[in-house]
Amino acid sequence: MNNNKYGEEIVNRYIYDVTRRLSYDIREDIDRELRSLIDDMLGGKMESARREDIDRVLIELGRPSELADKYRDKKLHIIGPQLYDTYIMVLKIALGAVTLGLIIANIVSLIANPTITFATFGMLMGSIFSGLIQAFGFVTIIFIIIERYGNDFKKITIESWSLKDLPEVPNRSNKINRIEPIIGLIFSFIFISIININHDIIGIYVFSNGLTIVPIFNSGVFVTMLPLFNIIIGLGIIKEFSKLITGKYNLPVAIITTAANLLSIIFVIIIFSNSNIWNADLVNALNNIEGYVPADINVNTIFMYVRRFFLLIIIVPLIIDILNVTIRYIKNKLIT
Amino acid sequence: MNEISEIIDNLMLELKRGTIVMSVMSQLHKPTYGYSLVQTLTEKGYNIDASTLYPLLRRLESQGLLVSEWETSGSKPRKYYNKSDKGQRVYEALLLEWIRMVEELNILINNNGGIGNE
Repeated sequence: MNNNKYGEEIVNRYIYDVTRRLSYDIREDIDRELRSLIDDMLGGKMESARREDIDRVLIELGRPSELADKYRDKKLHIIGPQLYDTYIMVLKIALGAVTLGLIIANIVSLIANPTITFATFGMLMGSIFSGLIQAFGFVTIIFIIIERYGNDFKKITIESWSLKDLPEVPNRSNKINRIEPIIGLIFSFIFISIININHDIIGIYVFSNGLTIVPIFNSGVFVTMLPLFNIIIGLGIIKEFSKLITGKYNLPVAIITTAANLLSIIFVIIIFSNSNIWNADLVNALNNIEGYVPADINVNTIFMYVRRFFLLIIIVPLIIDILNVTIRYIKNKLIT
Repeated sequence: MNEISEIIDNLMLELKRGTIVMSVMSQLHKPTYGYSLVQTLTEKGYNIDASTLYPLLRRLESQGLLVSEWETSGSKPRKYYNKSDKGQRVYEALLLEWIRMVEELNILINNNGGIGNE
């Protein structure tokens, strides 16, 4: 009698452990099938079978998860090889778009609510990070669903292979390090926020009796020049984005970079040809700060040099960038 | 030596996997239930697990090559399988293909592919 109860219980457990892993529509049938099979394996004498025999039979049938696996069409992957390439491509686009979108959204919200603190940039990083994770999750889940249920859809996405589709062999010098444009974009965001919301924080920081910031620019003139500044940074954003999307030094990147940088250079010259943009009051303001002791360095002189070489500091890197992009492009044209 | 027998085992597994459908269907000339099929095949020297055979029978049925019926008249309910018309046609075609394949292989083996040939 005890044997009977044990047999019944353990067979029930085994069959349950197999069938629970299978889809609802075939569960009952497989349940019956397995009971019938186990009975046959015990020589048709399940009621009177010994404990050891029942155990032996169940062990012979194997691990429930493996048996259930045999009953399924084996699908070991959540996103199969057919869909994988499409998935990766969509993922890259989605992540790139989210980054740019969030940067723009943050700019807009800052314009609406203009306060910049150090926390502002922490929050920018945080929102980009969480946005990226969400985008990753959405794309992945959608593709998992397609893999599981969308057999017709899969046929559509599998394009026939042709020789034209072969990707170019990546040339080391040809590839643009993806991180550089992203950093460029982040800095562009930072600059455009600062100049539009609180440009007076660009200046000399004096720590005596608390913090005093002496702005380096003349506020009034700066504001009239603001549109030009925005255009310059906008061109920079376009340029960086083009580098980010294409990922290599090709003709569009060369052209866009050259055009954007040349225009920027022109605008920068226009802006700074008006020497009134500098804060004429700078030296006085410094001297007026309580407890400010001028160091050996003559601030006046430094300021004069800064004004003279400011243009150079801006223009030279832009020219270097143009040369870099063009030379890399030509080098690769020559190689291929 | 062990490595060689391991390689042979793996290759034979592949070979067996390729012929399992024919082997199983060859014993389904009349309605048979799963476990008796296991026993018949084992008696005739073809070793197969019930845990392999049962899912295979389901798959063949879902492809339309077999039909099944639960026999509840006896003391225990049993699921009987038999070839469908489609299954019969497929089986006969498979047999022809098999014979052809064996002949092809024999030609290859006899023309300088056999044991002792260069």
